[in-house]
Amino acid sequence: MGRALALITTIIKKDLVSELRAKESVVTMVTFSVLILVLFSMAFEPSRETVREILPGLIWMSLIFSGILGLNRTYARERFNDCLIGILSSPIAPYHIYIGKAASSLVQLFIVEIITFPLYFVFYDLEIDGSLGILLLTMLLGSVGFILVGTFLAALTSSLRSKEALLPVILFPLLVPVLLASIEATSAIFAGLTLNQYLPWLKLILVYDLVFLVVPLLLFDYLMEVD
Amino acid sequence: MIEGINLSKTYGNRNVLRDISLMIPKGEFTAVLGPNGAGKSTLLKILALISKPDSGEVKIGKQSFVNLKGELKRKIGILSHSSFLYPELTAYENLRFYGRLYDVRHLEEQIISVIKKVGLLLALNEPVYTFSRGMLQRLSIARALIHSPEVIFLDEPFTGLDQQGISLLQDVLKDLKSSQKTILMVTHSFEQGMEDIDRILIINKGQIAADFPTENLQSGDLKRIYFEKVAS
Ligand SMILES: Nc1ncnc2c1ncn2[C@@H]1O[C@H](COP(=O)(O)OP(=O)(O)O)[C@@H](O)[C@H]1O
Ligand SMILES: [Mg+2]
Repeated sequence: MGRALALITTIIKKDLVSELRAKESVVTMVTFSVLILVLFSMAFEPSRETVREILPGLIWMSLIFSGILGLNRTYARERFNDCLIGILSSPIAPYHIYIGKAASSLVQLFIVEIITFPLYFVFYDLEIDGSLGILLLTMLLGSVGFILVGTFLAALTSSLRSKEALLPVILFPLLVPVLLASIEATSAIFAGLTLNQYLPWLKLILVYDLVFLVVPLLLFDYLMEVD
Repeated sequence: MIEGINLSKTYGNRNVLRDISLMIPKGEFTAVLGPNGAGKSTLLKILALISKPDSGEVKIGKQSFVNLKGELKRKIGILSHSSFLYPELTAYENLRFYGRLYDVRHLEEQIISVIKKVGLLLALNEPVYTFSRGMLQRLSIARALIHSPEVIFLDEPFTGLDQQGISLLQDVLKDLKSSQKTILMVTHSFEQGMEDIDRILIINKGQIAADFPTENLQSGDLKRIYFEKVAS
């Protein structure tokens, strides 16, 4: 367990240091999210009521689109110089590579969220009737689910031709449950519903997260096979 | 010791390896020769446990890959056509990364020791994207040796090296041989590093065309045998 954790940390650190130097992913992701957010607010000049209705969807969609940019990058970096083969020729288990890469992508997505989330309050005059704490928890769980499935599928598509275009096509159908549940839960929290009314959505997200924590444990070895 | 038993590999409908069996005893330095596309790199990748054969089995020191995936990989070092290096990271950071994947003990000292061996001490903290082709190749050699592997696979390691780099790699190989490491090296050249080689394996069209010791081999013999075997 301690050894697994050390290996996972090694992968995360390497990814984040590379990103810190290159500043490709996070900068692109933040730019993209902010652009969407600003353009929408100018296009619609929304009233407070319509904001409540569209904003949860908008927040999640912009997170997912910018997240895909980051996911494609993280594997592109491993393919360059065949680094992934270098990692795979070491004793590390492919599942630990998966968890490490998911965690580093998650950190990058969090950075995007921390920068863009306050801007929604500025541009949309956003008020939350429910608990901010539970909203953050929802964002956390939803992001985890999205990044897990994204990391899993990016590994699959990164060995194919036209990988960058393929990732969203394969990813979206699989994302429907977690995306829908996250949007529903976010809407409910914005509207100040009681926890009981949206607890099933949170549970659905949690189950989704667990599934994509476990499924790769069984399948990632096959995904990481080198030809 | 490395043993390959009935190894076959196809890509699409192309038989790249056809039922190759070979056995390389501990401490032996074997050179693999053969024309382009003969399947040398493929054989190397399979023996190094990077890719799987369609059929057949690889054993390293009596242990089969099927039973002991991770632990076997610890004994292997590979220098391939690709560098496996991250351009944004420094030479030091790249070596530290790989060293950690192998749980190398006293990693700091080990990094300094291998980086000195390849003559890159002064470039230790330079990012790899600033490196020349030859420097990359030297750092790749250091990376392949960071965990002091028992078995070393090298795929055309002299490519890209300048004269100094060539003699440096020859010294590294001499060193490895004198410390009883098992070495398998794919090469194109008939001269570079040949004096330490114990055995020659010629691969042609996915099969072993010749397999003989270098003992008693006269200069010029190798070229003659090679062209005989490869032409037929
Ligand atoms: N990953 C791969 N996918 C498809 N074909 C491959 C792959 N790797 C090698 N080949 C093919 O297998 C043959 C042998 O390749 P290789 O082992 O690299 O030869 P060598 O190293 O002897 O020049 C070549 O025809 C090459 O095109
Ligand atoms: Mg080759």
